Parts: sequence; structure tokens; C-alpha cells
Amino acid sequence: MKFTFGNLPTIGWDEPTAKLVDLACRAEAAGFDRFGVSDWKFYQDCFVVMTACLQATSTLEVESLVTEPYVRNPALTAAALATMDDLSGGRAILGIGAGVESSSRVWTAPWGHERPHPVQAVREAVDVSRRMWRGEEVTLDGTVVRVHQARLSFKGRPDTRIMIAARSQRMLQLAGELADIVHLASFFGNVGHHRDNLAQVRTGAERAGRASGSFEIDISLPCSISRDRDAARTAARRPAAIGILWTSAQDEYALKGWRRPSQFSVPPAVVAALSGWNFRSQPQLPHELAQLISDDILDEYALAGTAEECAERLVNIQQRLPEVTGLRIYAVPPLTDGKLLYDGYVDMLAEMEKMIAIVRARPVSRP
Amino acid sequence: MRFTFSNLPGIGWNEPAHKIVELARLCEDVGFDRFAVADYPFHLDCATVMTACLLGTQRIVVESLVTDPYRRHPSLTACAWATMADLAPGRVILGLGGGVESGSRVMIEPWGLERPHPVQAVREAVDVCKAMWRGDPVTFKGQLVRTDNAQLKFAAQPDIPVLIAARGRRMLRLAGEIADIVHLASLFCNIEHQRDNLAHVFEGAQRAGRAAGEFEIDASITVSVSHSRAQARRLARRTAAQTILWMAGAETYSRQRTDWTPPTQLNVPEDVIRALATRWNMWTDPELPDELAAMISDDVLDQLTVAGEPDECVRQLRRLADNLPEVTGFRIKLPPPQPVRAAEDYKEAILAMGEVIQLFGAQPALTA
Repeated sequence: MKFTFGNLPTIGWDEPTAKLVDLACRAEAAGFDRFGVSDWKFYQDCFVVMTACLQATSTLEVESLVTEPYVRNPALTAAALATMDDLSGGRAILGIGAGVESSSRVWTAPWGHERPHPVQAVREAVDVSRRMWRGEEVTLDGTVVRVHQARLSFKGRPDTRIMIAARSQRMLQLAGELADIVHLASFFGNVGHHRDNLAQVRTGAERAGRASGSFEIDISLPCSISRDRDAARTAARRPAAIGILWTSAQDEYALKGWRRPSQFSVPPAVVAALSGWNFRSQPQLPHELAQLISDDILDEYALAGTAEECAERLVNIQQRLPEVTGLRIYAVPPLTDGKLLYDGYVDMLAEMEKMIAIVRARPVSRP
Repeated sequence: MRFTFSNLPGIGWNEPAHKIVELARLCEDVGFDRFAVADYPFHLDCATVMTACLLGTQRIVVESLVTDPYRRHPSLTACAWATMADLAPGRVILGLGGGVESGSRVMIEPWGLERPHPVQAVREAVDVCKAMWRGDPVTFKGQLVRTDNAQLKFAAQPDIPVLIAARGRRMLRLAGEIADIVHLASLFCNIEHQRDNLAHVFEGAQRAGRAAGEFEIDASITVSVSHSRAQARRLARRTAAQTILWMAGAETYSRQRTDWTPPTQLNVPEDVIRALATRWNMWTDPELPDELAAMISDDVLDQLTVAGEPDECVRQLRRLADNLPEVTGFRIKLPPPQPVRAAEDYKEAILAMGEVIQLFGAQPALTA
């Protein structure tokens, strides 16, 4: 199981960029394999932060989690990733999604704030990147992406990895068809739901003649770990609420055509109450809403508790979803006693180190 | 006088990116003040290389030389440069130009491969960047740049210096009006020509109510220095040829400029210009063929470059500095070395340039 630390910078992060880089170093020391840097617009720049993290570490892989094909020109993204790859000896991963669920969209010609044909856009961006990394001169007049005679002026690595983040059926299929790393971006940790997603991934893979096991599959889970179990579970309620809103399509940027999974079992009253909360602008989940999220619901949307119990849950997930090769941890530190976010992450990384060690010590049979 | 090393990555550079970082470190060691990273499309990414150079050094200031307002959305440029400045406070410069003279253009909506209204585009991009660095939410519907409620989510250094590279009159005036560092991008080191350029800069400054001395002025100069005079002057000929084509308006992209008039001081025989324009592609050929290099006489070479042994280069730079007292910095364009040993050749050139910087600093200015 590969462990990825995600999702900085994000809402609430107002520390210097150097502390973000420091967390990458600490994640490497704690046993993480990868560090995901978000591309939320107008936060610290994803590619600059990725470069800084790569420069400061020696084994950690660093990925965009995730960039998109609209605002950043895909040919320039390919050049930037190839440069990072060159600087780091092959440790950069291009993580890409459609960027349709972002609240701060950059006005970009010709789409303005719209993001049309997201699956096709990702397909075209991946195509451009891979061809450029192979050294080809690329001209593409795609549905979304237009590139003219783009050829790297330096040697790219043809097998620079691409991760595709997917929630919708079509994007899951595309990821199965094209990605080196399929990222199941749903926060809904229900095993049956993941199996449905994996079936979509398989459909895409079969379409491309790819065997299972020839690419990686990451799942994504909010995670709050602390020796103070209650504090961890309290902190995890905020991302759980986000997961509930996404899964029930109650978020204002919910995917078009999204269907609520059949396994979704959060009471309608809870969904209705949460939908009045704007998680993009309010860093805190109001206490009265947090209380609506029962322990059972919480466990479907987050990994929360002590290192030992989170490790047990992960081992269980591994056994039930043997196709999954990695976990992207959306880290949510408990911030008791007015602790700053950075300090919370530092504390939690120590607990994560324990959890990773326990999971790695438990052999898991793969299909 | 501030010294800036440029211009990597460039034509002929095919070494790993980390070697640029090593050269930045060497530049810092030998006394350069600034290290400039080029933004040629599809070459090693400018912001990525800048970040690596900033983290690989302690003191040297790192600048883009130059990016443009078209291919990267200015709000993202603001964000990227603010992030770099956060990582290395006080050591980042946003260098911008019109991007109209690039050998490979990126297809960007809605302009395709065109780059319309470059002066206006630079003005709008600078507006957006400066407003975002102040923390303002920026909604802007310009002629070229459009943003909607773009606001940095982190505290930026509000006074990241903006350098504007200019050759055309309108861009020179704009630079005088709004740049923290005016970059005289013409490599033609004729003093009268640079005085003409400075007149446009000060016209722009006056328009904005800025006094001389409120902003820096960099002059871009090809310096080819070596303890072997013959070697220095041989290498300088490629950049001299490039400069001739630019100044004469005879290069592919210069020909498309409607605002360019060759400087009256340019004294290069027509047959030399014609031969260079028709028999050499400066954008794709790292080397100038010998027979073309031989057409560039010593007199022509001296109009366009500072080339020779360290002492000789110091004298020429001192002459320029004394005659152009408004100039506060030299951007040193080192001629591209042989591609096969680019990094090693650059190291030798940087070490020699270090001697020049030391000697230059030791000589009193006539106009002090």
C-alpha cells in the first residue's frame, strides 16, 4: 500500500510556503510515499510548491492533486512536469482532473467560468503530455485542447506517470483506460461504492486492453489521527460533511449527471441541514451540524481515531478491496487548545507514522 | 552597478535542469547580483527552474527574463511569483515582456499564435499582479487580460519588483511609467542608441510623475570574456549576428513588428545583414556558420558586444557605465557555448565574468 499525503494548500492554510515544504520533509520521514499538492487557484502555486517539495526531499514522490486542462495550457503543463521530473530524478507525477468542482475558477477564454467536456479535456491533455514527453512535435485541434507544433526543447521522460482523479462514471472509465494511477476521488468510503467505482475503472481498462494490476489504484479518505480519540473524531466531522455533500450532490459545484450511490444512507434531514453550510467559505463546521453526524456515518466518510484503530480499519479495507494499491490521506488534524494548523499536521504526522508502520507490518494477499 | 547573469535555458542548452541550478550557485559565488531564467516555450519551465534556483542559492535574486502576459494567465503568474517570493523573500523579480519575438509560440485562446497589443497586455498584466500582491480582489476586464474576483489566499510580499523588457518605443515608455526595473533589451551597445532609448523611458516616467532614480535601469549587453581573446571574440560573433538581425528588423519576428525602425547608429553593411537573414536561422541553429561569422568585422563586433580578455571587457563596460550614468545594472548575455559542453563552458565564462565584476567594482566611476 502506497501512502499519499494530500491536500495542501487548502482552506484554512495561511502559513508560509516554507512550512508546507517542511511538512513534505516530515511526511517523507514518516514513511509516506507521495505528497500531493493541490491546485486550488490563488493559493500557493501548485507547480512552484511541487518543485520546492521535490528539491527539499530525496525519495518522496510529489504529485499535483490535481491540476486541470483549462487554465493551464496542457503543453506548458507537460513542460513544467518534465522539468520537475528532470530536477528530481523521476519523482514528479502529473495528477489531473477536470477542475469542475472548484469554487475559485479562473476566467479563461473561450470558456469563461465554464468547464465544458471535462472527460474529453482530460483525455486530450494526457495525450498532449505523453506525446511531448516522448519527444514528438504535437499539433492537436481537440474539442477543448489546442496545441500547435509543441515539442519539448529538452529530453522528457516518456514514462512520467499520470494520475487521473475521478468520481463520475465516465471519468472513472477514462482513468481505467489511460492513467498510470487511478485516483478514486470519492470520499465515500463504503466498500460497495468503491466496488462499483472499480467496475467502471475495469470497463475503461478493458476497452484499452489493459490488465488489472498493470496500473495503480488509489482511494481517497479524510483522515484524522490522534492519541486523543475524541479530538480526532471531532475534527474528521468537517471533511465527512463535505463527503456527504459531494456524494449526495448537494454541493453547488456538484458534477453534472451525478447519481447518488445506492449505498448512500445518510438521513435526508442530515443532508438537508448540511446543505445550508458553505464548506468553501467557512473553515469550521458549526457544532450543531457536527453533532448530526453519527459515529456510523462518520466511519463511512473518514478514517478517524487512534493510530492503532485507523490501522486496523485500513487493513480491513485492504482485505476487502485488494485491487486498491494506495491510500491518499486527506489529512485533517485536530486543533485543540488553539493549536495552529501547521502544528496540528506535525503532531498528526507522528501518529500517521505509527499507522503506516502497523499497516505495512501486516501482509495482505492480492488477487 | 548590479550584474545579472542570463539567459538559460536557451538555444543549444540540452543539459539537465539541475545544472542550471549549479550555475546559479556559481554566479552567486563569483559576485553576480541576479540570475535570470528565460521563458522559452517548451523549454525547461521558467517558474520551475526559478524555484529550484532560489532554493539552491542563498543570496542571489532570481528573475524571469522574460515571461509574457499571454501564455500564462496573469492571475496565475501573480500567484506563482508570490509563492516564490514567499519561499525566498526579497529575492524574486517578475520580468515581463510582450512575448512577440519568440521562436515558438504557444497556441492560446482567443489569440491563437498571435500576440496582439503587447504594450497594453503588459500594462494590464502588471496591473493585475500588483493589485493581487496587495491582497486586493481583482475583477478586471481589460483589452487583453480578464480576471474575475481573483484574490490571493495567502499573504504576499506586496512589492515584488516588476521588470519590463523593452525595445520598441512604446514599450520603453511603458517601462519608464510603471516598471521597478526598466530593462533596455536592445543588445546594441551604442551609447547614442541607448540615449535614445533612455529618452523614451524618461518620457514614460514623466507621464507618470516619476523622477529619474526612482527606478532601476538595466542595459542588456553581450559580454564574451575569456583569457583567450581570440576565443572570446569568436564566441561573441553568434550573439552579434543575432543582434544585427534584431536591430536591422531582419529576423523572422522583428520583420512582423510595425513599430520597429532600425537605429540610425547601426553601421553594418547591407550584404552582411542580407547574408545573415537568408542563410542562418538564429532560432534553430545553435551555431553561426564560419563563413557568416567571418563577415562580421572587428568594428561591427565592437558595436554589438563587449568581447575580449577580462581587462579589456572591464574597460568597455566602464566606458558604457560612465557614458550612461542612468544605467544601474548590466544584464550580461553570455554567448551560447558549444552545445556538447554547455555547462562546462558556462562555468568557465562565469568564472571569467567574476573577474570582470571584481575588477569593475574596484575601478572608480568617472561620474561618481
